[in-house]
Amino acid sequence: MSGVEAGFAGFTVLLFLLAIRMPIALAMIVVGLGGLLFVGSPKIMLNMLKNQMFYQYLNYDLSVIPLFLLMGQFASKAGFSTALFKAANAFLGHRKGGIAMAAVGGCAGFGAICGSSLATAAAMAQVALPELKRHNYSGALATGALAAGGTLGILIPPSIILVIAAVLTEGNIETLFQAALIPGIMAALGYILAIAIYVRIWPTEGPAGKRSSSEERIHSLLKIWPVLMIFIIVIGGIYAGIFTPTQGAAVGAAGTGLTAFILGGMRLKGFVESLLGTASTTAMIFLVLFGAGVLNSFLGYTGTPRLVASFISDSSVSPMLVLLIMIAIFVMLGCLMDSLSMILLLLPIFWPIILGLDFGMEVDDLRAWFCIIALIVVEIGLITPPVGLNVFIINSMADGVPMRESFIGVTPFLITDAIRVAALITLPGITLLLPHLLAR
Amino acid sequence: MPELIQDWRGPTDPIGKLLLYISRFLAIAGGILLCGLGLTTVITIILIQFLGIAFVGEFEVVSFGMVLTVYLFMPYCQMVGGNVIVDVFTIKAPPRLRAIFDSLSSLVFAAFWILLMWRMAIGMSEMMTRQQTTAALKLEYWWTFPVALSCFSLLIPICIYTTWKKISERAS
Repeated sequence: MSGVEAGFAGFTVLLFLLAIRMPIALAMIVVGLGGLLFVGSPKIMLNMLKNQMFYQYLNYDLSVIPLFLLMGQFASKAGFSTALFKAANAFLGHRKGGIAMAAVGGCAGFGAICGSSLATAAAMAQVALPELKRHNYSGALATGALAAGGTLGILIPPSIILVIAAVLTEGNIETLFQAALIPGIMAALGYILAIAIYVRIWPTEGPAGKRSSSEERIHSLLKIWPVLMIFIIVIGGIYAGIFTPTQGAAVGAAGTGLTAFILGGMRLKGFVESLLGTASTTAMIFLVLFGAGVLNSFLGYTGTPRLVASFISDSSVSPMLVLLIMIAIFVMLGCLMDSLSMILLLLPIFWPIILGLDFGMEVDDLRAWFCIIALIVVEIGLITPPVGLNVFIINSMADGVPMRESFIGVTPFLITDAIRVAALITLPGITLLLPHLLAR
Repeated sequence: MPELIQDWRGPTDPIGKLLLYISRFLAIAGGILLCGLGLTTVITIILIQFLGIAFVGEFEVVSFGMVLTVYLFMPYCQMVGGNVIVDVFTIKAPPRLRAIFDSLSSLVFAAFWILLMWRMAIGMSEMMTRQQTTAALKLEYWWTFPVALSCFSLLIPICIYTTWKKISERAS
């Protein structure tokens, strides 16, 4: 069996193990170690285990992950979701569909503090769902808007998955954070537009709420100043190069923790809950990182990614077609796997291929452009059936809304997602505008 | 996803309770260490931005400490079932079959931790003879290994416990 055949065989075994419920990290480890044993020798495999985990974890870039996770945990306890939703609602609530728009706006704001989609969706749903129900919003619109809004959590920086994408493609985190901002804002505006069109066609689905006085509006804005402060200091500091991402995350976690203590009423119990929440997610991510490392040593040993890349570039297939095929794979697998595992599994395989093709861009630009597109496509998987984790979470929080209705409710948002992905692919300038401006 | 484990009820038998207690303790210790590392960073920034005093070791302290943090977090993640799985293919499978699959995974996990412990124990002795350290503060690499080995040694009974749990679940 040649190296490439072994690589493909390993991939098949991996998919089989995933199908029989083996944790993703473990499946990667088993296939990676087994493969190294098969194409290499026991010695290679056993030597790798001696210190690979240590060297992989001793990486300053990775230390940003637990700190951002901690920041997100604190953010959930700081009452930010309530303040953000109320502020957005004060400005948008009187429009048709306005409360759903406010929920999306709130998600965008919360995503600016929290790097996880599920946490963003769940935090905002707790505040917004009762309000949406009280104003007789249809279950489809209410749950659809929240599930889609939640995906803003991983697009708007800080984002855990962006950090991982940067580490896997050996790029810098700052550039990806810069590149994500404009597509993130586009996503939020696209979702709001989708709601506006939706309620124009079906006006009874999202009735208008009451108009807030300008006094109420100013009052609601005053309440979100900690969120604004933290976002400006953390992301501004990282963009301006004052902080490394890790330092930004540490400052953000400290600021959010302090706010949660003073304004959110977080006490010892909440603090311990935050630590434990951070612990299980951190360990999960790092174990998958280790698994991906082992799997990639095996694939690297077989030469599969390199050979596939040279095969594609020799066969004079247009680079764009290759990109579209990758996107199709992301979307299809996105229906089965969660976004993090998909990025960890596929990015190390796809990135060398993309790197070997001629898109007429500098490496840094290509990386930012490709990672942002990959991230958005992967995040679409969070709201498509059958797995759509965001939809499941929101649906479980909304009593009496059938699952089918929630998936119908997401459809308009999926359409705007598709349009946005098409725009970002054809016009790389949108993604690259901010990194280029800030690089000067 | 791990965010979902809020609904998780926790074990009711004494062995499970004990394992959960120890792994929670380690996770909280790791969390406090994480907060400490974060505060170190914040203080470093304040020192350099406002007082002009540079602390060169921040980079090393943070990456070194983070390795320990991750090890300390691992038993808790395993104990509460925080490792992500793909359950779309088996969502309609009979619970018995799912329990068989899950017990199998836990068993493989146990085997992996045993293998890793054995190799990392050897890795540690090599690190000790080579005396590799970080550049500025001379933190010795091997110092992290005893923490790793202690955490993995807890992971083995946890995996065996979850295997046993799943098997008895299937029987009932």
